[in-house]
Formats: sequence, structure tokens, C-alpha cells
Amino acid sequence: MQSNLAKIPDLSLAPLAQLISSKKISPVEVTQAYLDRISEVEDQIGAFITLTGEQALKKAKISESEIVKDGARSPLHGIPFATKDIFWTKGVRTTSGSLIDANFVPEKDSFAVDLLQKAGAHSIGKAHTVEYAFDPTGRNEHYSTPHNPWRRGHYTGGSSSGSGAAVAAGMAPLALGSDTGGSVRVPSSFCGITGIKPTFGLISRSGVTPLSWTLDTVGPMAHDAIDLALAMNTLVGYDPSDPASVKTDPQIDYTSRIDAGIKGMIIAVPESFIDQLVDREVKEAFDSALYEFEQLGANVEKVEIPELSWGEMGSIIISTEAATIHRDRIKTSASKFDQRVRLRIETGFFVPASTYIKAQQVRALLGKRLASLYTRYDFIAMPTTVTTAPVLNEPLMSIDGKEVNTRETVIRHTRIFNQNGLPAISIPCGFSSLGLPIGLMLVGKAFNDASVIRAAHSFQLQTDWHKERPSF
Amino acid sequence: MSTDPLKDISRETFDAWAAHMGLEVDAEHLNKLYPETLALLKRMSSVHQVDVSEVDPMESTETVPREMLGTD
Repeated sequence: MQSNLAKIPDLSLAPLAQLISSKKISPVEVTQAYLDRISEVEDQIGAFITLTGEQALKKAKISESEIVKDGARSPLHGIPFATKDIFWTKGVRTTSGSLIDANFVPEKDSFAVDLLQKAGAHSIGKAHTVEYAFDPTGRNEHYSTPHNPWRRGHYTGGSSSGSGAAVAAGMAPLALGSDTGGSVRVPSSFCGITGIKPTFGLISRSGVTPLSWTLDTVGPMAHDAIDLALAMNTLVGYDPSDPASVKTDPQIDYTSRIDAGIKGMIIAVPESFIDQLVDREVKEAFDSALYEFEQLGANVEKVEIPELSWGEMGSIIISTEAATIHRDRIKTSASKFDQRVRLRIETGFFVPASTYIKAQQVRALLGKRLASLYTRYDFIAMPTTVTTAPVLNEPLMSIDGKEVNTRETVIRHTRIFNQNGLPAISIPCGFSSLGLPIGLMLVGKAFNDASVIRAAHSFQLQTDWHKERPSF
Repeated sequence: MSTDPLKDISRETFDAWAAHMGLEVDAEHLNKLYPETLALLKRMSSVHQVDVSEVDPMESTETVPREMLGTD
């Protein structure tokens, strides 16, 4: 088995998997190449809270023997992945980005990690997360804030901050993230990678430190749509230990119709909502991407979706549920929280039950209105974020002369789609003049995740944005 | 349509409530928590302004709209 180790970290998952399964490179070489890249750039980025290189190499050696003897048992066999540090990992500490759980060592793996390992993949480390996944910028006061691989001094986005940075910087070809208001899609957009928030219930959240049981969604992050399809083939599955888990029967193969194209599909663009607040360069890249979709045979239509302005109501659900989940931690260890996160959680104590239920009814109403919209349209398209990655630690930012709250602004487009459980993917669609990535979000019908991935793949066959890599 | 019962919560009421719920009642901390809570209460007001009469309360437990159930 011979290879050029230096180039491995720049490959995406699918070709890497092919090289491993055809025995042209070994899982040990692959894992070592990623560990070398981590050694090279981690000081500049800070993507990981805990590295598990030794364990990863041991598992890679086992995979190597298995593949030599019996062939690869799945496309993920021998593939290293980064695990957001809210996913429980047996015998490896899971901090959830907090001091309170700094020494928590789970006795079992989360369901998603277990599925990846059964497919032959192995975790290379626990990636940075915002404390208890409760912030979309990536800021973490306890373990430092990761830097954007494309431009140090800028956020990666969060809360799956390390996952986004690790994939973008070539420290792992695949990462697990979770998304409650945009936490897979925002870092995917800011870091120039591809990430999906699948339909609610498709991937189990068992063994993932919760933030909001109504909105939390597990999703994979990688370089491109094919990579996500391969990951979804492994990660989607019924788990009775997650009350939201759904059975999909028969099991969907997310790669099977990935080349079918999107000719004749109708894309809805809520342009007036987008135009209320968007960076000029982001909008230009988004408009160019829509043109590409039209070239692929899709029809793009402008629509009005007034309900998109209901996004901030999701914060009532998150705060109330987070207050319930973290009640004991707040009462016993309040001073150990990042004080910003603590305040967000504590506001949830003041939400009356009647208001929480009303917010849930509004969420259901939103679902009905979107269901009506989707009788005509196949996708909604928007810029994933209204801006490129903001400067670290700046609570306010300027968008075309308008001063706005950074934290609220980065999830302006994403959070509404957690409230209805719809599948939403973020794909790279350009770069700003500062060299920061720009993302486009496609939102599909419930359980039409394969169509969402197919549309993203069609776009990526026409464009090269997802092939760009940051330099170090 | 109902109205938000907490819209005009005073600082005194807020402090008493925080103590009742077992939160740290250090004045410096409450000085920060009070405006954050008021901001959330403001959002509550917008929730209470939405007419949800077409939603059966039972439907509020469904995260994925039942009208959209279907597969690729």
C-alpha cells in the first residue's frame, strides 16, 4: 500500500473510501495522515477539546486487518471522524464544552457514534463545542474558541464549531454535529463545507447531551453531498431509546438516485425576507448560485413567506427546555457556567407553561403553512447565513452599515427550520473578498432528505466551491 | 388571543420570583439577568399575538408536520 500521505487530508470522504476499499491505501496511513495534519495546524485552529490519536491508530490497525482479510464492510470502514464533544464516547471524556462536565467519562457511546463504529469508522477526537451547544457563534470561554481555518481571528460558527473547523482544515473527512437552531449549518457555511440537518427523528439523539428535546437534531458534516449521503446511509436508523426516532422502512439508500438531477424541480426563494438583512457579497454569491440551479433545469420562483419572521419564537422553546434540562446544574454549579450561557438558560425559568405551549402551537402552525407551500415547491433556498464568519468576540457586527447583534444574526435564516423538523443542507457557493466562505441552504420536504442531498450534489457537479481548501 | 401575563414584570417581582425558583439572588447577577429576561418576555408577547385557532393543541406535540409525511 503506497500513497502520498500529504494529500490525503485534502480528499473528501467518498474518494478516500474508494481508495481504502480497493486497498490502495490503508486505514492506518489515512489516520496517520490526519493526525499529522492535526499536529501541523491544531495550534492555529483549536478544533479539538480531546484528541484520541492513539486509540484511533489502534482501531485503524484493526480495520486494516479486517479489510485485507474480508474487504471493507461499508464505505466508512477505516475512515476517521471528528466527534462533537456533546456525543458520549465510551471511556473518553465528554465535556459538552463545560467545566461542570469536564471529567465526565461516559460508560457507553452515543447511538450515532456506535453506528459509525459498527460501520468501521473510528473517532479521531472530541471536537470543540460551545458550552452545552447553546450559542451559534462558536465562542467558548472555558476551552478557547476555535479559529476559522479560512481566516484566523474569525468565528467558525457554532455550536458544532470544532466539527466545522476540523473538516475544513483537513483534520477529519467527516464530523458529527448537532443542530438546534443552526449548529450544523452555520459552521458548515462559515467553514466552506457541506452539512445537513436531517429530518427530525431520522438520526437518534440517544447519548447526546441535550439542549432542547423539541429541536435538537444530529447531522453529519463533510466536504460534499456524496459524503453526506454515505454518512446518512449509516447514521439513519430507528432507536427506541430516542422518543423522537422514526422507522424508515425500507431503509433508504441516500446514494441511489443522487445523480438523477433536479430538472423540473421548483425552488422557492423568499427574496423580500432575505433582502431585509443580508451582506451584499453573500447576496451576490447566492444569486449566482440560483442561476446555476436554473442552468441545471430547476425553476426558481420568488415567494413571500411571512412566517419566516417567527424564527425568534424558537428561543422560547429552547430557553424553557434548556432550563429544565440544566436545572440541577444551575442550582448547584451556576458559577461554573460561562456567564452568557448561564443567563440564556436562566431566562427559561421565567417562561410560564401557557407561553411555552403557545410557542409549540405557533410551531405547529408554521408547519401547516409550510406544508401548504410545499404542495407546489420542492425546496426553499436562502443564504445559510446573512453574513460570512464574524470577527471573534465581537457582540455586534455591521451588515451594509446596519449594526446588529452577532449571535442573533448568524441564525436568522437557519433557526426557523428547526421548528418544523424539515431537512436542510448548507453547501458552499462562493467566497467573500476577505476569502471567507459563503453558504447556500436548501430546505426540503420532511423525509425528502435524499432529494435535498441530490439537489446539493447536482449543484456541486456544476461548481467547484466545495473543492477549495484553506492554506496554512 | 391571549395576552402575555408577564409583559410588565417589575424588578421587585422579578427578584422575588428568582429567589422563589432557587436562582442565585446576588444583585450583580440579577442586574444582568433582568434585561435578558425582559428581552425574552418581549418575544413572548409576539408569540401571544399569533392566532393559532387553526391548530389543534394535540398537534403542537408533532415536530414534523403530519401533512408532509412522505418519503423520497
